[in-house]
Amino acid sequence: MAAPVNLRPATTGPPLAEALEQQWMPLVRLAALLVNDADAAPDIVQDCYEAVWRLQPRVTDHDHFVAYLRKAVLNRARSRLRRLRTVRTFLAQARPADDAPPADRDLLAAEWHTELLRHVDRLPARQREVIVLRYYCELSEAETAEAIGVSPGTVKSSAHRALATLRSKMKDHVDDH
Amino acid sequence: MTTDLEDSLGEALRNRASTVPHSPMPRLRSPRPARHGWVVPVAAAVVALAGVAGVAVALQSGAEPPAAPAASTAAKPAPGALAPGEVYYSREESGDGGTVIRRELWQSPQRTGPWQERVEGADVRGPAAGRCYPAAKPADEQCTRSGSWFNPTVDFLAKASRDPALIARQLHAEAVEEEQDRIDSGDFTESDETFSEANLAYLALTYLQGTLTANGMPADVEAALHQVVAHLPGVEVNPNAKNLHGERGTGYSLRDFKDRPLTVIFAGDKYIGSPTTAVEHGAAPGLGKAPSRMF
Repeated sequence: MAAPVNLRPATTGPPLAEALEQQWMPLVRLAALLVNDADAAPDIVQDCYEAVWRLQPRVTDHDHFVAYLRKAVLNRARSRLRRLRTVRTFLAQARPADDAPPADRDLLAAEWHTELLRHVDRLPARQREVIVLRYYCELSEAETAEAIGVSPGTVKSSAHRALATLRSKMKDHVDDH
Repeated sequence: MTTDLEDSLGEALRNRASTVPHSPMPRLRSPRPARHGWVVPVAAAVVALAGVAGVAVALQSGAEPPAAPAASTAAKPAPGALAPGEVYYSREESGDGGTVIRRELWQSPQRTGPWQERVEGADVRGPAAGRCYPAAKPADEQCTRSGSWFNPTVDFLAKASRDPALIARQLHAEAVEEEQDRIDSGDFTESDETFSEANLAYLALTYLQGTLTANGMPADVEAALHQVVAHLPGVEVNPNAKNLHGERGTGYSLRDFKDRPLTVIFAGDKYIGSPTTAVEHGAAPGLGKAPSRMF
């Protein structure tokens, strides 16, 4: 199922306020995934929205406008992570190895996903961005490249490395159990 | 094709996203002109150049920059050349039958000189501190690398070869280097076709489309590139091609692995776009000013 942020609306876009309203929660979710912090996500998107609102662009191409917003959120998420890098490094060392899965979900699947996301969170920033944009937003390599500001080749190699890392880590996880 | 791991990733990320609590969109303050420059990424609304993956630029609103001195009328510059005080101007419209997007770009003849871009009426202006218009290749984000056919700069185009045979060899070498870089960076999509003539030619045409759209193209270089394109291996020629505006010219197409054509159209030796774009070049008396003449 495609993530809401990846929806392709009609060519004739809605007015600015309506377009921003439509994209609010999809972008909040995207920001939450990028910084792994649901509380900080609305602030990131609001910061982006304030800037866009000042500019008052005409939304003549909704797809491009959504791509623009996505990229703005990505950059603000990146800035936030840069600021928090020192804190995160400390917290990552201090955090317990396992987060307990919710009791009311399939335990195996939940544990698998929790473990997988734990390793996603530890990927280098660019690899994590690629993974979120490719597998959550379901963007193509070209769209991901445009959003991040790198070449499609870099997206491919980053995804390749990230998947290799995750595959290795998850294999270790299986072997350990 | 996705693997189980990729499927799991998508599902895990969606599950995590679904736990983000709903928050209402805050009320946005009344818009007013920003007093200071602020940096945001701009997904260029229309970028014909496939190698360009968006641009990070400074958006500024406020006073117009000082206009460049009026163009000299004493001597008429050659087509594609600027008179003193003029800036390059290009206008690209693109669309696929629905919305047409207009992108205008004013550029100083100096690589790190001021520039201004207007996409659908929204102005984007380069920072004053000597940062050039975003390079064609993301790897040259700081615009410090020397120009090439795949990364055209005004300087490079001014000094470039006018010999089609030499240009063709240079393009081939750049295409090989580009593919080698991708492999060296861990690209796992290498195949027997990576260095095939067809693939290298398609890559060259992809970049050439951006090069032909760029500002600062001398007329004789454009004519030489026309010859290069006309002799690309596997090129299909359509003598009655039309660009987005319906202007007629000769279309040259190469097809990708899904049989989709990549087309460039020349009217005479002048590049005019593709079936989904219309490209025009000219000169303007200053950034943001109406063009005083078109090439």
